[in-house]
Amino acid sequence: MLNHPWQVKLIKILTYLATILLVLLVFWMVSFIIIQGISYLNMTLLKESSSLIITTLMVVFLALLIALPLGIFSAIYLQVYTNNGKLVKMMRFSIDSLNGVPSIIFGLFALSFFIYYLGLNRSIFSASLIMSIVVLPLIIKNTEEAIKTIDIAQIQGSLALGASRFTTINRVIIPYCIDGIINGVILAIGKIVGETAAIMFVIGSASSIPKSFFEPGSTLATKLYLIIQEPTYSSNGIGSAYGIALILLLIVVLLNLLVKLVNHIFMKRRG
Amino acid sequence: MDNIFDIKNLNLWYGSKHALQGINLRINKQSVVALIGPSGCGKSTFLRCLNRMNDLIVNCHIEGSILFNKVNVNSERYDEINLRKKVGMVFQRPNPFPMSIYENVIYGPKCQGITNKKRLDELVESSLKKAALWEDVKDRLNSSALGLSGGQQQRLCIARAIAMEPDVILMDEPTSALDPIATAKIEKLIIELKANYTIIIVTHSMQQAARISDYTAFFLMGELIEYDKTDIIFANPKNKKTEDYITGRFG
Ligand SMILES: Nc1ncnc2c1ncn2[C@@H]1O[C@H](COP(=O)(O)OP(=O)(O)OP(=O)(O)O)[C@@H](O)[C@H]1O
Ligand SMILES: [Mg+2]
Repeated sequence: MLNHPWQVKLIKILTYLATILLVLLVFWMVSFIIIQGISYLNMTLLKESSSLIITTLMVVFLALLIALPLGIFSAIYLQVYTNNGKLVKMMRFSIDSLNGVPSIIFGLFALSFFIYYLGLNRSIFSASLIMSIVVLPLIIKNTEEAIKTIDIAQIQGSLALGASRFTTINRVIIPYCIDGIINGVILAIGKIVGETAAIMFVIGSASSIPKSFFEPGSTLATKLYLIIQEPTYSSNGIGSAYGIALILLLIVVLLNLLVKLVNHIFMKRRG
Repeated sequence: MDNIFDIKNLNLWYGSKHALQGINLRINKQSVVALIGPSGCGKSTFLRCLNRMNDLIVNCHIEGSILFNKVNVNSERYDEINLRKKVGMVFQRPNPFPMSIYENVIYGPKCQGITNKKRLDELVESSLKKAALWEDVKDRLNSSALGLSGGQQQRLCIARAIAMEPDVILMDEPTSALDPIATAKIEKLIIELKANYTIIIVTHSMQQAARISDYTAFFLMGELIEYDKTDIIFANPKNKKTEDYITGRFG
């Protein structure tokens, strides 16, 4: 084991170095984007990208709307209702596999299944559908971890008071897991906002503000991808790529703050 | 006297472990019954049969009948939720919900569909009074139950059970996590509650059993060894094993 003083010291130094490196890297990346992007971040770009921002928010909203209930109830099912039967093992295996699939595969699946096979239009709806599948494992895993920390005495207490399983889930389990769910939501938002490969074949493209979920659109990330690939695509060339990247970062931060705020209000109301 | 529970030839297995073996026991209305016996003898297991909490345990298999007011409740056909409305339970460790005191008390009634605010207010006041907690908390009903002391939390759990207006309250070592003063309060409370409820309590304290119970059941390794009036069990038990246990000559 690691019990020589010099070994302990070495581990300590390595840990420090790794931490410093990580912090520097993040700091450098973020400040690079800010410095490069800030000069392009003006009213023109904001106007240009308003449809991108709205489309992105729509995908985030709809994908979470689908994935959240599905994910939360799958997690509860896995943790509360079952005792490691065959079905659970299969579900576990699927979730773990889903988590490891590269997003381009999701893109291919979405294109061939949603668009070619089901005949759906290229739209925000189709993109949200595939993104809800992409983020499902994140929601399930985080909720499950939170459920594992629930004090079993709380569940017993509720059932002993004549509460049904449904009431117990609703009033004891979900409020207890809210932190885990929030964690999953924050990770999911990052993933959805930043995703290109999984959605670019099924969302189509448009430059006007979408009027419904069934219209095509471009998200910040898919547009960013196009501009980087083909800078002539945009008035400012590669410059607007930095601007859009900055907006993308800001949106992620703002959405995370919003989620935390909602959580805070929710907790306060519960007392 | 009428009996509220009539248990006939109750057998319980956890997997292949035969944890309760041929238990026969009658429990009178409005009495306090103490369940005593060494650790692992099946007291909690027996108690959980009475409100079907063993349903939650995988691989737990129960045979025999448990007549509650003359109806067998140990049956798939009997809805365990209905049983738990009539047979409340207080646990070893106080387990209030992380909600306000008020919300804790009305949790059960709300599950039963009571929504009338006035009725709920009344229930909160009367339950807290019966649990001897009203004076302590009447000015802070809306603050979190987690801010109460351990003893107060346990009395809140008793109030929460009372609010369902049950016939029976099961208690599994309700004072083992409390100090002597809080314990004395709960013991006094149990004696008062006897007027309206049947109370079945698991305890490791011989003194406690002697102080508060009318009847005592002595369990040993999954069997009911002796069941009688508490005075008799403590003054002249019929079984040698009972005598050894209460005089401390046993584990
Ligand atoms: N969920 C379970 N699964 C398997 N065996 C169990 C389970 N619960 C209890 N047992 C076993 O059944 C026997 C009786 O346990 P029980 O908890 O009823 O004892 P007890 O008399 O309440 O003990 P204590 O005084 O320590 O609380 C013990 O041997 C215990 O190991
Ligand atoms: Mg026990």
